[in-house]
Order: sequence, then C-alpha cells, then structure tokens
Amino acid sequence: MQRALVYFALLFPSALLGLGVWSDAFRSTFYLGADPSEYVLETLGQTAAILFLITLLISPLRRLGLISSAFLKFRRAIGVASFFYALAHALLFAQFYVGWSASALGIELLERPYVAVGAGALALMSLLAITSNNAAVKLLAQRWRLLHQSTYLVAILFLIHYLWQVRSDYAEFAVFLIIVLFALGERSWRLLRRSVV
Amino acid sequence: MASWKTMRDSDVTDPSWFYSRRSVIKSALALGLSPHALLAAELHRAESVPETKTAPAWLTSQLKAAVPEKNAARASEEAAPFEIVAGYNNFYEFGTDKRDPSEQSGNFNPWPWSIEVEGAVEKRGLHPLDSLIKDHQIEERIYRLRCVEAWSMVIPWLGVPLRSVIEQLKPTSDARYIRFESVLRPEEMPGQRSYFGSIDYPYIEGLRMDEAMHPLTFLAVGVYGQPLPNQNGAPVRLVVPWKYGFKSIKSIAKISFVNKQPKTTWETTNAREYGFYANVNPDVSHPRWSQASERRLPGGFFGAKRQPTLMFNGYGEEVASLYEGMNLRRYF
Repeated sequence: MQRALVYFALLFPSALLGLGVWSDAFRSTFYLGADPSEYVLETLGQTAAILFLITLLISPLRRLGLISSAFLKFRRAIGVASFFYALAHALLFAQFYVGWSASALGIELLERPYVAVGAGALALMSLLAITSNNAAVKLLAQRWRLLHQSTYLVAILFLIHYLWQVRSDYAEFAVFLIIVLFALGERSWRLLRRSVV
Repeated sequence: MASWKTMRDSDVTDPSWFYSRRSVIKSALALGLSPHALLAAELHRAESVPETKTAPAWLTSQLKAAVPEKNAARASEEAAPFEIVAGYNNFYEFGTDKRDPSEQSGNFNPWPWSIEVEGAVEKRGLHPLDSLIKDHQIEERIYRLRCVEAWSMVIPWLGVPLRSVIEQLKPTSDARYIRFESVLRPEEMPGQRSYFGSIDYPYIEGLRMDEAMHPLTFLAVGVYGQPLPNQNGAPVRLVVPWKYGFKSIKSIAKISFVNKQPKTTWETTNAREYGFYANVNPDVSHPRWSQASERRLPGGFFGAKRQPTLMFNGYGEEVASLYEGMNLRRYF
C-alpha cells in the first residue's frame, strides 16, 4: 500500500504533464500556456530537482529523528525517478534547443556553461541510477558507498546549473541552497565527529 | 518612411476572429462587398473579454474611434490570441513567472493616472494621462514583439506615436535622451516587495532622442480593442518594436528629458548581459542563449515554431539608419 502510494506520487507529475500535452494538442485547451515546450522542459527539470533534494534529505532527517526509517526504503525509487525526470529534461532540451545536431550541442556546451554543468550532473546521475540495484551494491561492495557519495557532487552541480540561469529572482535558489547546505552540513558534521571520537 | 505600412492587413488576421466574423462577411458578400475590404476596415478585437471596469470613459470612447493600421507584421504572421497576449507576460513587478502578472495584478488600480514630466522640456509638471492622449488619433499598430529570452509574438497595440506626445511637451535643445520610469507601488505590486529579487525598483528605461522620435516608436494605451490590461502595462506603456521587449517599459509614471544616457534597470542589474540599446540582433548572442532564432508564440508542444530572428526584428529598413557607423556588437 505504502509502496503503491509512493510510486503513484512519483509518476504523478509526468502523468499530469502528459495529460496537459495531450489535451492542448487534441482538445485545444491551454494548460501548458503559450510556450508549452519551454514549460514542460522547466517542469521536468524542477521535478527532477525536487525529487533529488528529497533523497538528499531522507538520511539526515532520519538521523535527527524527524522522520521514521520507513522512508529509507523508498530513497532508491525516488532517486531513480529523479534521474528519469532529469533524463527527460535533457532529451527535451536536445529536441527543442539543439535539434539533435552534434555541432549545435557543441556550441551549447562551450558557450553556455550552465548546459555543460547540467550535462555533468546528468552523467553522474546516470552512473548512480545504473548502480541503484541490489546486484550492483553486492558487486561494488565498499566502492558502492564511495560512488554514491557523489550524490553531494550532483547536488553542487545542480545548484550551479540553476544559479547560472537566474535572471533576477533568487528565491527558489535560496531554498535549494539551504536544503543542500543542510544535508551537506549534517553529513560533514557526523564525519567530523566520528573522526574526532 | 511609410514602408512599415506596406504589408497587407490580411496577413495578420487572427483566424478565430476571422471565423467568428464569417457570417458578417457572408452578408457583406451578399451585398456585393469584398470580404477583404470589410476586414481591412475593422480592428483586431478580443472576444468575450470583460472591459476593464475602472478605465475612464474618455479612453474607452477614444479606443473605439481608433483607426486600423495597414499593417506592420510580415506575411504569414498571425497575431497571438488575446489570451496569450494577456496571459504570458514578463512584468517582474507582479512576479517572475510568465503567469504571475495576469494572476497577481488584480490589486493594481491605475486610474486616475498622471505622468510626471521633468528635465529639459517646456511643459514640466504633472500631466493627467488624458491631456497627453486625447488630442491625438488612436492608431492600431500590429507589431512583432521579440523578447530577449528568444520568444516572440505579434500584438495589435492601440495608442499614439510617442513623437506626437513629445512634440506636445516641447523638449528643449538640451534634451538628448529620454528617461522613463515605471510606477512604484509595492503595496499593489507583489514583485516589488520580494526579498530575493535583485532588481531595484522603480524600473528605468531610456531611449536616445532620435529613437524616441522615430515614427515606429509607440505609446500604447490599449491592445485588442480595449484598454491595456494591468499585466500588459496599464495604463500606458512604450512599444519599441525593433528592440528587445524589456525596452518597452510598462506603466509609465515619469518621463525625464535629459542630456546624458540614462542608466537602465537591466544594465544596472547585469551590464554584461543587457545593454542600453538592446536592438534585436541575431548576430550578438545573449551570454546564456543564442539570439539567432526565436520561438514564435503561441507554439504547440509538437512542432514548436522556431524561426530565424531578423536584424532589428525585421524593421531594419525603417531604423537601420539610426545606427549607421555604430559598432552594434559593442553597443548591444
């Protein structure tokens, strides 16, 4: 039951977007506004970011006793869902802004560093997603933990990717930054304390 | 000088508008009138849009007497429907999301409106808006609007050439630039209250005197047959069709005639990305995106309409001479 609820929640944003695209195309509604490709692109990116930040928060919140450990077993599913939203975000970018042209992609990566940073974050996330199964955990043993520490690197890349696109409104960025700093801070504090004791 | 008027009016007729008038046209045909002539005689009007309740009578009646323009937009271009023009806006005073201005501008009441005029000009002082508008014929101008964010739409504005208002105010020979200031009303404009915005309000824009006097430069008081909705810059805004949209300052509260180039809001916020001139130029990229092409709105999700951006937004024939000999890469 719990599991079904979580999966439903993870699929919900994509279902809503799909419904919007379908309805605007075939029932001439205007759910996605004047610039639907831009809207879907942004919403996919935002959804990926929010899910990713949730995975980042689960451990520290549990360690602080603020949520039950029941959440831990869903972290993998949320992380993988975040990767799929980020992947869809990148594929749409390739479709609408790059037109699947290698030279155009080269220009985007070189001239617009936020694109390169986003691509880097996605590459790292795909490694994490591929190794998000029991077989990989067993196979990689200690190295799996090390690899998945790079979640924090993804977090930093994501923050830069977002910051470099802000035009004047830093409100959302501030929220994301606080969440990442909190997760990173809690983690470092634990590591530090362990090495001292 | 008249070349922006040479395009055919039929090129911009909104099809939904066209079809809704089909029965009228049929009866016109029956009377032996050509539908083309009939269309040319009517303004673009929004359908089923409530008239702005607070707009004064002088404005609504003057808008009704507007003359339709023999158009500016290029062949095969279609005016964006009213819902898009009034539902997809950059007006950060009401929030930074495109939907914010239409959703969060309900508390803004522009009436009665006056513009403060100061500087190198004879008619200094506070001018009620009607005193600046009512002596001039309201025209419809169907212009392409190209946003610096690489999207564009075609919009049927109603207003007067800025030039005629400037002439009425009688600037002195010291006036080399015009500085425009938007209204500052944080209690009615939630974006002006934001703690996380990096923009210092009020919003400031400016034009060189010859740009301001150019016949294409327009002072809009209406759109689609009705007074400007709040989200489009009620009650009066600038429209400079060959420059990026942010030059077309909204809700103008103050006009200063000055002899030095004014420092504009976006230059102050980010000088590397936004210049004083901000002429539409496909060859000079914004640091974070290319300006070579644009998304024409409204666009479908499938087959979003991407088209090449034209130098001076396609108004080069009229305005290129203003910038002769200037390095447009440096003065972007």
